[in-house]
Amino acid sequence: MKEDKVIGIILVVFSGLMYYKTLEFPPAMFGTLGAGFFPQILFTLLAVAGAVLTISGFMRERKRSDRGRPEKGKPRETQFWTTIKESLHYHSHVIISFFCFFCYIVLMSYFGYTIATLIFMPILMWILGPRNRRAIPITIIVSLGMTFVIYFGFVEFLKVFLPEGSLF
Amino acid sequence: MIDLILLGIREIFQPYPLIFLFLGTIAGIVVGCIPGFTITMGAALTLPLTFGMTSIQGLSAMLGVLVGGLAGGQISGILLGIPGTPSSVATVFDGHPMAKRGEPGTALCLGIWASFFGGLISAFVLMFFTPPLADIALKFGPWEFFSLVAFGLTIIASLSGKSLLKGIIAGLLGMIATLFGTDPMTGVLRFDFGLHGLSGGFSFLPILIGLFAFSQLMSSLEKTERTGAALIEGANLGFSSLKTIKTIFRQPFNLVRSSMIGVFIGALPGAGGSISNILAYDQALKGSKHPEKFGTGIPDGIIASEAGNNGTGGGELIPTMALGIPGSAVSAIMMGALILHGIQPGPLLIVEFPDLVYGVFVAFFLAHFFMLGIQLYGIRLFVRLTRVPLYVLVPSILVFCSVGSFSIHNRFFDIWVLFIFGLLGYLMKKYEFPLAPTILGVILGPIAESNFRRALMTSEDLTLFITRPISLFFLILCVLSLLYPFYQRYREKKRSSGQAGA
Repeated sequence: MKEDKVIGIILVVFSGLMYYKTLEFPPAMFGTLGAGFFPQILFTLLAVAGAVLTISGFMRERKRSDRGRPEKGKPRETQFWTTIKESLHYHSHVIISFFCFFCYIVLMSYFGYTIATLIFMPILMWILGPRNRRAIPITIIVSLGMTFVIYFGFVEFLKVFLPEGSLF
Repeated sequence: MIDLILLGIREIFQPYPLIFLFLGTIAGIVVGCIPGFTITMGAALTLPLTFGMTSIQGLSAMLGVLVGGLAGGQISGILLGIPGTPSSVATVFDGHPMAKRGEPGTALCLGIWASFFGGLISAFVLMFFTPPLADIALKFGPWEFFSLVAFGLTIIASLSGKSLLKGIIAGLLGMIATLFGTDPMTGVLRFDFGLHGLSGGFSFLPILIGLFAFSQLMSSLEKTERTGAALIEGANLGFSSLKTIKTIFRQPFNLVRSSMIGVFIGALPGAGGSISNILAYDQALKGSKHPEKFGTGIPDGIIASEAGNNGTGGGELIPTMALGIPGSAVSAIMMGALILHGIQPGPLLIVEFPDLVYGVFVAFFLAHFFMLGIQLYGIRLFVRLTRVPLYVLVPSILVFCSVGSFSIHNRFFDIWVLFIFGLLGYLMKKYEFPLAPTILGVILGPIAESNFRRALMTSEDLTLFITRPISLFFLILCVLSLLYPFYQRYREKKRSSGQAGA
């Protein structure tokens, strides 16, 4: 896989940088193994594994036939953008969900659990859902229900804290 | 012995202990089946409620939470592909494929009955073999723990699927994730990069849920149109307990072995009881005549995982009751409950309070019957989760996971950890990196590091790893486990050349 080469290189670079960081740890005292001992072993192993992954990626690509060549008459650049468009369409809900969840966490840090959840849930449900009349009451009921059941269950009944925002 | 058991029965078979045991089991199942909540959390939340109870009533409630929680994790694991607790990780490997194949009811039924029988076996061991097993547990030093963990890490080979290299990388990433934060031996801050959140390291639970929940949910969202599709389409919600029991009893060795693995791992304090289900699964795979079928939704995998998982419950109670050494965080909380009621846990507990100790054993035994009844009755409700549309399920689970991740340490940073590992888990799944070795690495990495360093602090003689018999035993198992894939390949070659000859 082409991606294996890239992932392998990323792992090698990451391991190298982290190994370098371990050299800053204070040395061992009283004959014990220092804080850097185990990390150095793990990052060395990861670097080796990453290198092997990269090399095996190169070797596999060399063995493969010419599948990646552009079709007759179609420039390579057009194929690339078509693939990107198809991939974005295929993963659109995934990308949106991750983005919404990211925004949810940021909102929660400012407004706390209740307000952030009341905003996040209906928006994501609407984006992912069928967007018809039937979905509206389901979206409202589930969003309100989940938010307040969790709130009362945790805060009032179990006395467990929920995230609080810096503003609310 | 029979007198003591009758003493225990007399303690438990009264209205209040039975009611609290029943309620505790329900609470445990609820806590276990929600991804983001752990049995430890459930037990911790139960502790203040026991203030007004007698010691046996309080312990009954907590035992119910323990047994219910161990069995409850399979519900979300099988139906959603997200383990409810770390003890149900391996159940997902075969439970979820079976559910996706349209048999969620059968998968759940198998898991519930396997949990029941596995738990009963561990209850039997608990009642009759607690003192000798506790003595063996005491013989474990850091060399033995390290060798056991090294053996546990070799399971990565079995869990790697198509690519051993990617499995090793996944396992290493899991171990590396535990390096962040304070070094447990020297107190040095590692890889904090000046960030306050990183100084506390990454908590295990947000990593687990992030890796499994996000990867599973996001994979379901690929390619779907906005039609209100469910997670599993066209599921057959039926199941038969009789057929399930026959299936389980056709594999008595798998059942007993898995349960005993759970008992053994549970009995070792600090061995990481969460790995017993993975270890049991691995041994079932290695001992099977059809190892290639594991991971496709076969009963053997579910039986091994759940029997191993519930076997841990009994194992954890062995050092707790016999020695006053908690076998896990849950049993540590139970010891807290004892101290609150003025009872000092320790080696003399079984002598001074035999009615209490054997009451605990009987309650543990009985809790499995409650668990069985509640879960079998609830199956028809649980399997309806598979019909909930994705656009309702995904946001709801994400909210639960966030709340669960936050509640462990009341750290907002843990929600970010959930997000980061969710992204990582999804990318790992996309690029065909297995997730189970990562979890194994997260659980076993810290245990391996601390025990290895502790062993060398005690004595710099490395030969002790080989000269101590129990440590040598596990190192031999380690070597055999590493050689197993080659043996398997040899066996397949022999089979295919034999078929070609015929």
